[in-house]
Amino acid sequence: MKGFAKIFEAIVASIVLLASLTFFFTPNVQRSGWDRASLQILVEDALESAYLNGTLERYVKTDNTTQLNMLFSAMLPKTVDFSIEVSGIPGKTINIVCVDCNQANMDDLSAILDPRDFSYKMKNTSIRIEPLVLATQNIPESTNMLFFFDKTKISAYQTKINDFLNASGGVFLFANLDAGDVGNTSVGNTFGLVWGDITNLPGRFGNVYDASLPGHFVARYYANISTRHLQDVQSETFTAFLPTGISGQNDQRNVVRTDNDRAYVRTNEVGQGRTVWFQDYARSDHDNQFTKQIDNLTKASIMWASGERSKLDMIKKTPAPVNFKSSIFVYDGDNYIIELTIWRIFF
Amino acid sequence: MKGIAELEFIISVFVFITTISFVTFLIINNIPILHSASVSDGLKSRSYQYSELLLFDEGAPMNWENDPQSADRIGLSNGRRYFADKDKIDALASLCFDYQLAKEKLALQKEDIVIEVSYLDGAAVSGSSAAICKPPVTTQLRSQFQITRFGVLPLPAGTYVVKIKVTIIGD
Repeated sequence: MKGFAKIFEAIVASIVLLASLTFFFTPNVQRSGWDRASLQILVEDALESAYLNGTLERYVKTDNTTQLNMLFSAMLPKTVDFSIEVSGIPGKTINIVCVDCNQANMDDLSAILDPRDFSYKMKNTSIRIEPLVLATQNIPESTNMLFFFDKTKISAYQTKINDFLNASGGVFLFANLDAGDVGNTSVGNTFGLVWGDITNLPGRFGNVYDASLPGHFVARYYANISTRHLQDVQSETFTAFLPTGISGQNDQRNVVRTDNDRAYVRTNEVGQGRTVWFQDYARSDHDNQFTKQIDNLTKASIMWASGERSKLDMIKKTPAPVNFKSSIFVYDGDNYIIELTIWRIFF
Repeated sequence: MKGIAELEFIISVFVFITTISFVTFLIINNIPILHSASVSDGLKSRSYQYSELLLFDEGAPMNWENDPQSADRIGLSNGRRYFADKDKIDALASLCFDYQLAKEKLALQKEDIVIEVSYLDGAAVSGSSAAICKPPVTTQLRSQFQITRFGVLPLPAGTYVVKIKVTIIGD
């Protein structure tokens, strides 16, 4: 029996040995990732060719989402889906929700933004305004911006405002503020405002040529709306504003400021969103040239605060969790970025 | 009992031989998998290289389309990145009537190549077929890899987006 036990032991040992050897001799072929790389190359080629061909900027300018989607559908494989986003210029439609606004507020805002259908560098743009009671109604999904005439509503709706900003929305406060409104308050924190001393000096743009500053974009929109060139608005003065005590803080968030560093229009970025505080101004007659000047500035500030980002998909699309992006920098009078996000349908 | 192997010895020799055989078979079985992966990666790499060469290189000399037979290197670019030259596409199509010569100009040895140039709607850019260069006989049995690139083709009627497909067929 002892001999058989040894034989049995030897067989068991050999089986264990053979089984363990398979671990060391299993082929370990790393995935090259070529599928992903070739798709990425294809997307970059598609963007570059469509740009060089001239169709990309033409379809973006005319907001021709149908043709744009057909173009990329023809270029990309059938097994992938895609989403197109343009950033750096305002979208075709800017949807504004006027929070807790009465009819007088709505009429006032409409008069300030008149005409609400206009052309920006041959690209048709529309501003749509809707009233909303934020306490009882939800913000519509298509909303680009919450507009407030009433500064007290900022603290009342702070949570909803923060949620909206975190979802890349814009918030615009059009109000004359005093020392108690700013600093460590809801308004002060949301719009980045601190108090200085009252001044009634005229306001002017800062450096309109520095593309890293919000003021550059507002000035660019303002110049185009006013049918002028950027260099012509650099030294322009705005005299119809009510006196302001908001400090310019000697930083780069001012759009229009006085020579003694007080702000009339100031921007901020909170989460993913943008905010603008805009000083009230004399506007009894919108045909008055000084009023019209600030009407246009309001519109230009709204264009910036809208996020300058729009989707050009035919239907709403949600990219798959595994996706990748490719973008191209387009120069078409304005500089903007077209980003193509693609993902495999079967992932 | 002397001269007669013990049972334990016989079994140990058997186990030893089995182990060696098992390991040998494992290694031998892995070779085709690794070889296949290597060949596949090689084809992918080659097709990418050729697509880059054709799309972005003007060829040598730069006006090789005037005398394709004497070309040192084939390229379809007109000099600007992503811009193809219609005359060079036509010249490559005519050069490929002698496929072996075209292969030589493209510095291909064992592999074969299929080059297709078409508009986005699938219409041929040169001649009646999108395939401007392909071997006289093709087989699906050989491993191959295709890469698709896009470029633009300036023509008097406008600038068109063209699709360039490069397929490298392994030996």
